[in-house]
Amino acid sequence: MKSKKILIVDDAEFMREMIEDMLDPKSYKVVGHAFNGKDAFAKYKQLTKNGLKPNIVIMDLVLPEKDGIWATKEIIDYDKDAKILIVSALSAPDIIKEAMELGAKGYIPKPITIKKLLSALTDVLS
Amino acid sequence: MKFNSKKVIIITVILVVCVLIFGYISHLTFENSAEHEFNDKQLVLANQAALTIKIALDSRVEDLIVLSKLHSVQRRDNADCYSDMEAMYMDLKEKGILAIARFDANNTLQYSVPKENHGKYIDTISSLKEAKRTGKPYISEVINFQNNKKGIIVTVPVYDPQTGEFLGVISAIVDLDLLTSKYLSDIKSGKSGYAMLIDNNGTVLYAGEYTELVGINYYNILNNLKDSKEKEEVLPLLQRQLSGDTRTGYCYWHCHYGTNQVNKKHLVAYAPIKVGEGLWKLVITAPVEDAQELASLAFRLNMLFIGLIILIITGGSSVIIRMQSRWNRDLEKEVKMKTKEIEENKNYFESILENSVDGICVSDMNGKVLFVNNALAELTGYSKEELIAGKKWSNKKDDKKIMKILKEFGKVTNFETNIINKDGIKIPIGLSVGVLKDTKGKEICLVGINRNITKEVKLRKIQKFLSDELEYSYKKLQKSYNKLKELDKMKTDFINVVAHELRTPLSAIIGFNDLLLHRSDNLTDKQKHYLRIMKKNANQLNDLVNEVLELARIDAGKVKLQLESLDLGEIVSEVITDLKPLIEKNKQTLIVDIPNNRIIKISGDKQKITQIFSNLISNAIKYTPDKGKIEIKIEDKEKEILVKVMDNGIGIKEKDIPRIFDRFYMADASLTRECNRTGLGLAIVKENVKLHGGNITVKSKLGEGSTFEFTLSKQT
Repeated sequence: MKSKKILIVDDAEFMREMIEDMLDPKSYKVVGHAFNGKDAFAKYKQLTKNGLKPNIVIMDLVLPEKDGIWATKEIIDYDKDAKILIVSALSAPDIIKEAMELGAKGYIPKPITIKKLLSALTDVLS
Repeated sequence: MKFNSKKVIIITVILVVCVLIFGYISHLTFENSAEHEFNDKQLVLANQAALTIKIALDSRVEDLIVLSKLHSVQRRDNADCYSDMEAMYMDLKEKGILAIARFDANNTLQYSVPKENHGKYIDTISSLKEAKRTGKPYISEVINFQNNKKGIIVTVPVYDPQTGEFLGVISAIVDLDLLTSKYLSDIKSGKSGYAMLIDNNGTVLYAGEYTELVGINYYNILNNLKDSKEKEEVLPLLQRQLSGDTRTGYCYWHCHYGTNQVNKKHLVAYAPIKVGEGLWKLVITAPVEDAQELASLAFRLNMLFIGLIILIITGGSSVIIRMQSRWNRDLEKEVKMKTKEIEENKNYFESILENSVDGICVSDMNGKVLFVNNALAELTGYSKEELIAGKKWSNKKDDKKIMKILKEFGKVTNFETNIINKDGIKIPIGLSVGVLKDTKGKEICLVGINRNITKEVKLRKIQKFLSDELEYSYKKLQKSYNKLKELDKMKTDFINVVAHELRTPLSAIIGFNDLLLHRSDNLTDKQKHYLRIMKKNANQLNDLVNEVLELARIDAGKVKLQLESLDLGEIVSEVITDLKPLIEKNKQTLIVDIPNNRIIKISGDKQKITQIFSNLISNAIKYTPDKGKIEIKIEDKEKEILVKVMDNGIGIKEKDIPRIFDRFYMADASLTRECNRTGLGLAIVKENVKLHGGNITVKSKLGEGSTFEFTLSKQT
């Protein structure tokens, strides 16, 4: 089975590293990291143009400059089939609801565990 | 239009006088012109009659000329000549030809018709000579013949058509009596006027019914005039007219022999008739009385007409006067009615004015007070008499302003001013002033209405005070609201920041701990043990953070229930599934009692409801010793669901029961560590039950167990 391409968006470098380490390299391939919303949207576009369109974007919400809500909207507007998994320390239901309404396919609260992450990714991909 | 008897009488008199003057003038004019007009008619008549006689005579001449041209007559062929002459005679007999005779050139009678010897009266010698000489027909003077008849002899020469030789003449006697009676007898002028025919010698040939005048000389009639002065005036004029062809004739004295008409004034008209060489006159004559009679008749008619006009004028006047008098009576009646009505209206309006609660003052245009009502007297403190006498009460300062408004707009409405009453106290009033005008628009008086607005002014002050207060309070409130809003936002931001900032380091700890435990192959057992302790505590810390944040959100009112239809049995089942390993580990008995295994549905937030069950069942497991019993009972009440979570665990001390739902309160501190408690679980349960319109209570006995009972509204 071909590994799924992942774009990880989080402002904390350790989080990006941790998520990448948690992924099974046989099933998932991290094609890019982004540290804010603007960077995420630019990377998504660039990767798509380069034939490396991410199968899943793991998106944090609290980001400097443009946040995860903005990036979710832009990516969905750019590619309505984009699959976005929200991974956030925010648990306020209205924010999560907004992200889901914009087109995000799943949400797991931080802190995350390997089990929770892989389960969520499987759900999003199905 | 208004009629006035005097005016009507004067107009009538003037009209009557005018009619009379007109009548008199027209009478004079008519009288003067009547005789002229009569005379003119006579002249027309005379001309017509003269022309008739002339035509009759000329026709006879023409007839004889025709006869003279006949061959038989010319050749004196005996038989034929006679028969032709007889035929002609038979034809002309009715037209006044008495006899026709044929004489030869020597004046010898050849034939005559009729055979009775009428020809003997025809003396043709002079006539023949004249006819032969002139070659034209000759008409003789008037002659008397048989039976004193008057006639004239017409002689026509006869020539040989080829040689032109004079062959003699044809003569005929024309009967004048027949002609005149035929053409003149019907002529009438006025009542008794008639026609006269006079030959060129002045001999009367015809005089209508006055036959006695026939044959006498007309001049002799005139000579018979008695008054010598009349003769002098009349005769020369008459002679002049008779001698010439003057055709006009006017008024003269004219006398008849032997009649009572002698010396009567006559109007006459003459027309000349040329007969042969002579000049005859046709006279139309009538007594002046006839013309006057006509004039008098016209006058009478005129008078009648004038009388009629006067009658109409006077009649009309009398009708007008009568109408007017009736109109006056009606008018009087109407005036009385109107007066009564006005009186009633006046009383009505006076009563309204008197009973008005507003002070009313009526004054003339010079400011003189005409009327004041009781209310004004009461308002000012002055008596009505004092006010009418001119006592001033108005605010002089505002008088000018009021007059200016009145002048500009024609009225003043609710002008706020003050009056000074008798005691010198200022009273605020609302003044309205109107100008009353008569039907012609002339200003009659001013009506001022003074309304006491003391209460209104006070009320207005109070209103203003309250309004200011309200505004102040509103602003204050607005400020507080804005502050609260700010605080609210700050609170939300705070919760979100806290959540983020607490969870981020926890994420690093828990995440990497997980990675170490699952992805590191070369860890020692000791290291693994440490990592598990770390994981357990980190999870505990994470639970605490979650619960604290949960309560903070509830307190901030930020919790919005995500309502959906929930099956409680299913939720309980899911919770039990999660907790099953623990129950089994503790060898506890769990009983779930749902009546008849029915599906019990409520409208609620799945996460919250799950949390309630999870927290309560977890607590029951924690505080029930091994092999203990835990029972969950769900009852469907009419409007709500009653849930009981019972255990036969350690129970709660009585003193702890009232505080069991307080935050961070733990009944038995010694058990905390062992059971991983935060002291927030029950507080969250209580809040969640409340959010779902329910209530939670606890019954417990130390050492015997606890029963948590809560209700959930079926429709949140």
